Amino acid sequence: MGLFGSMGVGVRGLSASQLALDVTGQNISNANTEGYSRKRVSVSSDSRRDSALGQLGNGVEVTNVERYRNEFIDAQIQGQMGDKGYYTKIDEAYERIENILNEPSDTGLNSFLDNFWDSLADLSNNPSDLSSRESVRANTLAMTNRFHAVADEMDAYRSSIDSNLNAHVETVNELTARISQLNQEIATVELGGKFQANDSRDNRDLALKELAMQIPVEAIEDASGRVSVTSGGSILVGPTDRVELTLYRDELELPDGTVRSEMFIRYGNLATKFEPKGGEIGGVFEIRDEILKDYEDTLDQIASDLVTAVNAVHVTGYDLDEDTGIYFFDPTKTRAGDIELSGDIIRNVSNIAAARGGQASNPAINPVPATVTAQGTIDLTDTALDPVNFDARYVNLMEGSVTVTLTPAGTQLAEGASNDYVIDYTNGQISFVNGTLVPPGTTVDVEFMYNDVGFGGIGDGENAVALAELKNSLTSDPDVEGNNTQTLGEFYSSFIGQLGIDRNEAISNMQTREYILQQLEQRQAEVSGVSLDEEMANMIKFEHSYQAAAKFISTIDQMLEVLMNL
Amino acid sequence: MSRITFSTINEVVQVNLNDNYERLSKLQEQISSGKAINRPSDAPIQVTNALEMRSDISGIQQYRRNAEDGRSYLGVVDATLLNANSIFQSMRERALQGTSDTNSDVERSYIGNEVRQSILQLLSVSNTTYKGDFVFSGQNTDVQPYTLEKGSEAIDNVDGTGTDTTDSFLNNAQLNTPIQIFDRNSNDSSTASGNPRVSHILPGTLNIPGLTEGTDFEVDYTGGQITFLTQAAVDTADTALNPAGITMDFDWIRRSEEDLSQPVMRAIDKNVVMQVNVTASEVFGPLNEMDAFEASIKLLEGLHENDGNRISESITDLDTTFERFLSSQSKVGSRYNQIDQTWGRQGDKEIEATRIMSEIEDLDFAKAISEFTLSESVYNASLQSAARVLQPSLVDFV
Repeated sequence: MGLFGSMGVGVRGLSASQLALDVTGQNISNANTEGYSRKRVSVSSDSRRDSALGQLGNGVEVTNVERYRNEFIDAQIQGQMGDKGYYTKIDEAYERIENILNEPSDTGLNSFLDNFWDSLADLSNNPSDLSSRESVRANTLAMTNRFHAVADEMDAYRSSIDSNLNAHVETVNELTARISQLNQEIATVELGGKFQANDSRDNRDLALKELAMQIPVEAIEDASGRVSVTSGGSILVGPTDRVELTLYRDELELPDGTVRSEMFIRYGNLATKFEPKGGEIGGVFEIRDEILKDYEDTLDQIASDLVTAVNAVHVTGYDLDEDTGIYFFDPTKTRAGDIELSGDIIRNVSNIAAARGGQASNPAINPVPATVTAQGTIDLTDTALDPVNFDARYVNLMEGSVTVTLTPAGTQLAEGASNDYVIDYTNGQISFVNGTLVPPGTTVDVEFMYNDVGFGGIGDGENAVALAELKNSLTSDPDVEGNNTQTLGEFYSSFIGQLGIDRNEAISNMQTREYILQQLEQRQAEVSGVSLDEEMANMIKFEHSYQAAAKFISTIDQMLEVLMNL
Repeated sequence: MSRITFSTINEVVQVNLNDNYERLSKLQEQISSGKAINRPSDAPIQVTNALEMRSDISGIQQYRRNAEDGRSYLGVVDATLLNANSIFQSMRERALQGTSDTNSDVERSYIGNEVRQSILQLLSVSNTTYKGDFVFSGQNTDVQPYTLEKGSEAIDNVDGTGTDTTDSFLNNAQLNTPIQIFDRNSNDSSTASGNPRVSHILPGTLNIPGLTEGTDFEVDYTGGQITFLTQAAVDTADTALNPAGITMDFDWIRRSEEDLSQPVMRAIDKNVVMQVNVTASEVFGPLNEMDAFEASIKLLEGLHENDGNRISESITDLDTTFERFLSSQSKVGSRYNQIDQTWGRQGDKEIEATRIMSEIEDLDFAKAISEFTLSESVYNASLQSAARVLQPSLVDFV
């Protein structure tokens, strides 16, 4: 080989040690970089053919810079990330709902409901007292305001997660773009099959991990080093292209007139929906379309049950002016967001029907046959109507109990100023407005119920007692036959209990995933993590080997000098 | 042997520190709020129970309030009835005193004055109010049961129907003949003065200007008849001679025509409603029958006219009235006792329910604080050990 050849060996040793030191330096600098896998220089000894001795060494050859990474663990991590993202979002939602409902506390809906029932009971003790009536109105307003506040906060939460969805979808698109670009880089670098695009791979693995948190993904690498990413069967990143996701918003009008916004993700240019079943995006959709919707619907149900039950009792009672047929709550507003006292009561608290009068009774013969007079009316207080069974108390007609049918045809007429007849409750008269269908002289059958006592006096608080007792009546949760099985309070408290159970489930799922992820990350770190101690030791090793190589060179140099000075 | 790197240790330390801190923060939340459950997810089943207990407690409190209100109502009624009772007792004594015929008419008229005062006292008793509502008026709480009215009737149209007769009865009047002036049973309260029930006119208040009762005319209050005794009296009353006519004035006690018989109820427990009033019909007497005032007036009449028989008759009626008072009092008494017992029981129930709710919701401070101290020391230990592990590395030694 000759001395110059030996010097070459030394030089090669130097450069190998230098390279190794470089890589060590790289490792040390990147010890805290996320997704970084430690690298090692792999060297092999070079040999040449020697005629005398067979094979002799020719120095060291750097074959590769290796990247220590466990791909299998990476795949597992990707799988768990999706679930963790999903349950994290779900837990966030339940936490927010818990805060909105704020039970158990004195400012939760339960407390306002109790105060409402109590104020009705106080009214029953002082039916003629205007301040008790004011108190009923005030407590009802406080309760309806709380309903509104809860509904509004749920709505606001929905809007905020809707606007967050945009950010999530942008993130996904950004990540798929990055992966696609890294794919090209890696393919280019690894084109000969000899080298490894280590850093690009690190970056791609990191991007895949982040993507997996947003949506559930599967990544498959092909021979050229490119990775195809699919999610739920749809290809997001292919060997040469990628598909963008876009967010669309649709306004749906529900039968009751409210507008609900629907969001969905469109896949590329097609009209097909992209519906991830996991990941943070999957969680967000689950929240807005299932969870929040369920809670909003249940609250609406509670409001509706309350309105129905209270109105049914209130409408048969008498107020301070001896009027009946007044609604307590506005019957057209039965959702949590718009439940409201009726205009009559807002205007004047004397209209609260605290008095019961008597019992609802049927006339002696029911229906009562009658003939329409020349004025187009039927007067139920006219003795001529039913001389045998007439009762002056028929004047106390009960709201909603009157039906009028034509005889002998049997067709039922409709109540209302724009329909067939109107009822004058004060005088017990029915006036027919539809002169063509029901001219004077027509025979009709009138079915009705009347209050057998009528107004008892301003000290009558029995209807208020009945209203207060609704607290203990079965007003909610109908079974298969339509019979209510729970009181309003029981329904509400079991609803809150369910919230707690759901949240605990989400928390436990989330914590399990977190724990599994921790374990997986640790195992990955075992393989690819940088240990500063190791690097320090290696650094010393390579420094020494550098010194030794340098010493070898200077030895060869001295030998050469001896030659030169011959 | 697994490979541990610095970053692994760092991760583990951080995770464990976080867990410890989370535990500490949870205990701190419990201690500062005083409640073991602050949100449904802390203990879902307990929260359901807690909410229901809260409702129960508020319900019990409301029933207690209702019972107290009912109790006060009954208390007022009870005291009133006691008062009425003592008035009646004294009236009866007067009646006994006046029965004896050894009394002169002057003495009887003095007794009569006392009785008149008692009647007026009874009237004001009948109109007792509680919180501004008349206690004996049932549900018509703004209607006064008995009022003292000033009545007047013109002499020329007293045929009892209120219609004007062209022929004044006095034209046909004869001396010493009783003439019907009022219909005993008609009680027309739709006009201002009404056609009063004769039985409720206070004797001694009937006044015809220019004429003197006893000398010029006599009134049979029970029968509703007036008898003119002197020709001069007849002449004064004769519209032919006095076209302007004359009127007679009197005081009478009107009983309201409204329905005063409704019960006033209070809900003192679940599905338990209790009547807390007694009605004017029960205490004083029904509308068109002999009532307390009629009996007293009968007595007063007897004293006024110095009629011993009349006085004896009135004692029977007074006794009937007295029976009513007693029975009302016993009703009130038993209702009062029942409400009182319920009120007491509700108090016990409230205490028990509050105790149960406290067990569910409130924090066991001793336990929480000792847990907190333990968690705190665990946290401190983990911090210290973390510091010792994280610091040294080979770099220090090379």
